[in-house]
Amino acid sequence: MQTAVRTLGLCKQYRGKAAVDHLDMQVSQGEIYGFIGANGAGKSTTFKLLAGLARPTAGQIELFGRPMETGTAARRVGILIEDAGLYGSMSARDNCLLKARLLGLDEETRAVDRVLAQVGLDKMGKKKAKHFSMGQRRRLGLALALVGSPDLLLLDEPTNGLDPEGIRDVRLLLQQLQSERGVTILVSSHILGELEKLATCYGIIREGRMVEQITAADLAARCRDYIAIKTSDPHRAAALLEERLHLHEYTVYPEGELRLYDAADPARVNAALLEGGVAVQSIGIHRQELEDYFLQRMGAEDHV
Amino acid sequence: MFEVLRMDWYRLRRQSYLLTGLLLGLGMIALAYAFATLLSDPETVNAMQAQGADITAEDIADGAALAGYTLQKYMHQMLFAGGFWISLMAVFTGVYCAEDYAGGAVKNIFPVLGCRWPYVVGRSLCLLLYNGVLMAAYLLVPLALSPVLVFSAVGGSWLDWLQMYLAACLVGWAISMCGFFLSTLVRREGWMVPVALLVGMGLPAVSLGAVCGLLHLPDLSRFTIFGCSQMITPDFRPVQYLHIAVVCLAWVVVYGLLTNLSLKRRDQA
Repeated sequence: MQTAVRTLGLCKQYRGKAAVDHLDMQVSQGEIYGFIGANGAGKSTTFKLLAGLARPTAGQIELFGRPMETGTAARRVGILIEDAGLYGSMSARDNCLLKARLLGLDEETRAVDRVLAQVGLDKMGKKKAKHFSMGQRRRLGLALALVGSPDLLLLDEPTNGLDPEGIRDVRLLLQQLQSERGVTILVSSHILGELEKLATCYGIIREGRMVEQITAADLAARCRDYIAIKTSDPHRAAALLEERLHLHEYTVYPEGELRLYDAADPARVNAALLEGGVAVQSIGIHRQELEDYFLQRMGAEDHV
Repeated sequence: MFEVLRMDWYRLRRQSYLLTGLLLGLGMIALAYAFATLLSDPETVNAMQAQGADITAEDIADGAALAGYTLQKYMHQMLFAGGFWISLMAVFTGVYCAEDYAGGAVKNIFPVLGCRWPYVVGRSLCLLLYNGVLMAAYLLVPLALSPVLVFSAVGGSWLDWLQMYLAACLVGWAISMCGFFLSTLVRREGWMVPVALLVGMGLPAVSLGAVCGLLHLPDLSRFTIFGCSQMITPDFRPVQYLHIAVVCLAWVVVYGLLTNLSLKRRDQA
């Protein structure tokens, strides 16, 4: 599979502070790449660098196998980064027509009508973009990214401000673009449950550095069952289980939850805790999800 | 480059920059004409004064002089003697360019172009076109209405009108490019209005002239865009015309380069 996006040692500093720090990233063509990181981790800056909106301090970017500086891939990229970048006094259609003219599209009105229908804004008429709701602005931003049928989409929080129906519509649209046209999609979202339904691989970024790149299949293999224990003193419970049952793989969460990743019998765990004088409010087996995995990779100790 | 020109021209039309520029400019010309016509009639002046209007002797003299004006001389006075038209151009084009940054729309432009030059050149061509269309309307509409206006004659040969038009386009283009450059620094429409007004009303030129006077240097303000706007004449004077053309084109190039440099040094989003 050919590479759509590749970065090597990509760095971006703002006033001497690294926003992106030697980021190595590789996205194959036709993938939906979930880009995950906490606020300020460097996701939006990475998107801006990939879109050519910010200059890298160091490092290289290749789009479709060619250095980005050549500009050869520019017209193959559609972006939605942070706010949608609209002209508020123009309608949705006019905003899209501007982009179509910039791209020099043939049959520009037909192309624009199609993308507006795809994002559900085809009935907006002459309503000015400044009067749109947050969700409508987001949809229009997505429509702008889709004008010109790009081969690569860079979508930073595309579902931000959308209602549940809108979130589902966007997910289905992106899946359709990937399956029918082989569009490569880099998408970031804090709604990890939603991202899990969409992404074919993930990149986890922390403090500007790539922590891990993992395919959805590998992630599924790594996501294990765990025992979740609710107790008033999870730290004491953890120490007790280490001592009595030799269970060492666990994470303590701030809401009084203890998660055991070692295979163990919940009944034995419960008995050991009761014997040790730790009151258990609830105990049960759960399946680890992307959110859990992400938090684990980010270092759950940060959350304690 | 031509895609940028097409996009910009579409935006100028759809966001009513073109219509507003036309209506505002022609409206101001019509209002000034109506006021001067009223003052040129002694009976009307008496009636207005009887109703308490504060009319100075200077106003009356201006009104009386109107009858001796040709249309061409009046239009020259109206457009180029003060800073009205050049200020209008600076504000309109400055705000127009700043909109790219204020709303973040530039994020949808640069990734498509891949480099800065098509944006700078395409935008500059659009600004020239905008100036050309507005100035043509400002001159052609009064010309078309000349049979019903009070002027003694149209005045000037076609060459005089043409040189006035072309000189105005060049000056307008240069001040628009200045607004374009400033918009890449200011990046806010609200801030762009006062900045463009100060530039359009000739504050830098007047300041430069004053400094030159204080230092007993030759007056360099004639090498400014505002200085050139004051040098536009109703009749064709080749040397003066050449001066305006060279200075304005030089400023267009300088502001184009500065805009490119500004875009290069700062991230676009």
